[in-house]
Amino acid sequence: MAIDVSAERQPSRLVVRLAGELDIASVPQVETVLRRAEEDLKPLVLDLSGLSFIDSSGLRLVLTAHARARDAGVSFTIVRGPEPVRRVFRVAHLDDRLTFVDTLDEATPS
Amino acid sequence: MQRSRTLAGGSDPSFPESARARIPTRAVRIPDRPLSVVAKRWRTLVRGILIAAAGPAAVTAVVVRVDLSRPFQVAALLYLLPITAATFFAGMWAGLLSAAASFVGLLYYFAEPMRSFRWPHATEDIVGLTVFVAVSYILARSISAEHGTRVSSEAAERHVSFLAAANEIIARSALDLTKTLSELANVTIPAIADICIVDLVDPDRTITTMAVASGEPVRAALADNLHHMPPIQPSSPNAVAEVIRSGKAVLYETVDEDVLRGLARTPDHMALLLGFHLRALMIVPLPSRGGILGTITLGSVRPRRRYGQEELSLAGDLAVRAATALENVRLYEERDRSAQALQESLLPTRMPEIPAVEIAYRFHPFTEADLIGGDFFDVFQTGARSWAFVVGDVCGKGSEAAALTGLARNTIRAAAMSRAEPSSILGVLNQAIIRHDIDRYCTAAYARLDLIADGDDLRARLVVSSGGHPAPIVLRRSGVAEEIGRSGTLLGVFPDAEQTDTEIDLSLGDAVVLYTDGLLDERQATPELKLLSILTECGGADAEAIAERLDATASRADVVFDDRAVLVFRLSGETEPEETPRLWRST
Repeated sequence: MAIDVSAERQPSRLVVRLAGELDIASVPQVETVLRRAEEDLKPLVLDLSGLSFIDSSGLRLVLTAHARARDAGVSFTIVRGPEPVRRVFRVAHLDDRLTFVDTLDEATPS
Repeated sequence: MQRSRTLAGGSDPSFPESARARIPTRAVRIPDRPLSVVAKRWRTLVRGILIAAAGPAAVTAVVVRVDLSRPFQVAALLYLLPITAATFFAGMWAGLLSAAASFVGLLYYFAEPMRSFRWPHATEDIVGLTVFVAVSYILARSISAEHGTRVSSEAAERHVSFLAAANEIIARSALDLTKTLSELANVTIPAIADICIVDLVDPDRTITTMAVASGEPVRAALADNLHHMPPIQPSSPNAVAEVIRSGKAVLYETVDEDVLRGLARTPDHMALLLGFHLRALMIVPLPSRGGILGTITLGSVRPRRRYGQEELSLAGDLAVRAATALENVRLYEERDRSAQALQESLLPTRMPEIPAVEIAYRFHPFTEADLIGGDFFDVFQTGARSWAFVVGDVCGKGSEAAALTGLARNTIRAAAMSRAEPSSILGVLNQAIIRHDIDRYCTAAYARLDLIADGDDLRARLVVSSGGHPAPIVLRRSGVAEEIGRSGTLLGVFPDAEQTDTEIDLSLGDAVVLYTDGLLDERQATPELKLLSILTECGGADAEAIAERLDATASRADVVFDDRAVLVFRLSGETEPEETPRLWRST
């Protein structure tokens, strides 16, 4: 199964939505969209609520995007995914190191 | 000795006498190729002259005997037959020769004055002779032109379709050397040869027969014996070695015993070659950027299949394509081997023997295409009665990931020499990765086992720490399974990563399982619970059985993209039979 990735430019933030499986095969596609979105230097929201699976390559993608945002001084918020996706972040002990919210509305107001 | 390093001719001083002795001393002379070409031209010439002369003579004999009153036109028409035949079989020059002979016959027997070589008086005969000359010239010219184009266009068509087939086969057989070579040999049968032998230069420069193909009327069983001929030394006078040294193809339009002696490696080989009744041979080199890879030897056993410059250039075209394919196969195999070596360097070369502890593992590196998996595991001794068990996973695949895997494994071993707490050892690894690679991370579980002999009772203490890695599981002899501690931060991203140590006691019959997430069906919400429930059924089983059970479950699940590793150890209380006295007895 492939991935659907979309970027939406809102007045005060950029929302990148992922739906499907984020694995070694789909990472390059998401990486391209993410990097283009980052050029705006606006608060970034990564919406994982439509994601059914994430593997270690996907986790790395999120971590490196987070590091880039931190270096650029831009806020980076993640909308939590379903349980299989949450589990991966939990095992990696990333719950308190990245900024998570449960719904898109909770993220930086648009 | 310097000479022995070059491929250029001459005898190799480093070449052992014993190996030299295997090559029959008679096999020294490579027949002179121009001689055989000249011989063939003479034969063609003689045959053409015979055909050109015999036809008109026969016609003359027949027509003179019939004694018609005015046979000039009839005779002229009949003479056109041998001219046609001569042109067709031996070319335009033979046709014209035949026309000249016919002209002489017509002039002498059928034009007035008869039976004299004088120019005829009758205008009719003069016109007749002139027309005859013109007609025979046009006839010879058109037949030879038409025949020639047909032959060459047929040949060109065969040439193109043969190479297309060869291309396809070479592309299809892609990455398997043996398969590519046998496909290559097969494609020549029966298109351009009745027997085909492919010889390759080995890494030590000896030349070995790698593939043989044959078709009717060569008996396959006989041809198969060619596989078992000894390799040729690079400096041997053998014709194949000569082609490899010179890089130039050779063509034997005819084959005699001398030619075969130049090919034979042993008397047995000679006998075998004689048995094929070869009529023509070509040996073409397989050229590549790095030198000659080997040769293709093509043989004909049919009188109608002759080899000339055209066939030689066809074989040369085939060889160029084949050599490209072979080079690819070789590069791929080399890369595969080094990847394999790298992967193997990531596993312990030898499992340490721990008294009274069984160890079992299953390791499935991700080997699709050129990807190397990032899983690793290790078992090593850290103290008199202490051993470390490590399982880890480096994010990503490929050689870069494998390099990080090596770093992780070595860092852990080095850190364990000066530190005891697993969390502290993982902390060192965390720092090492941050300094080494800003872009990658690693997860690992580290367990230190301290054996405690307490009289006849075997006990052990286990200290575990996990960095972003599924926590190891303890399986009690009773069948109770639980995770040991909680996972800390993954390694290599955050300088302030937090790791904790969890300590538990182990008794006889207890087992511990370390694994990578490839073992889990991660599309489930709680894959660990499933793993725990499978383990519950394994209480009391030995380490080997537990590892097998877990591995079998994972291979049934729809896990495609990850490699997986599972490492199990169990306090069995039994030492290997060959070892000195039992340290612990099971109760």
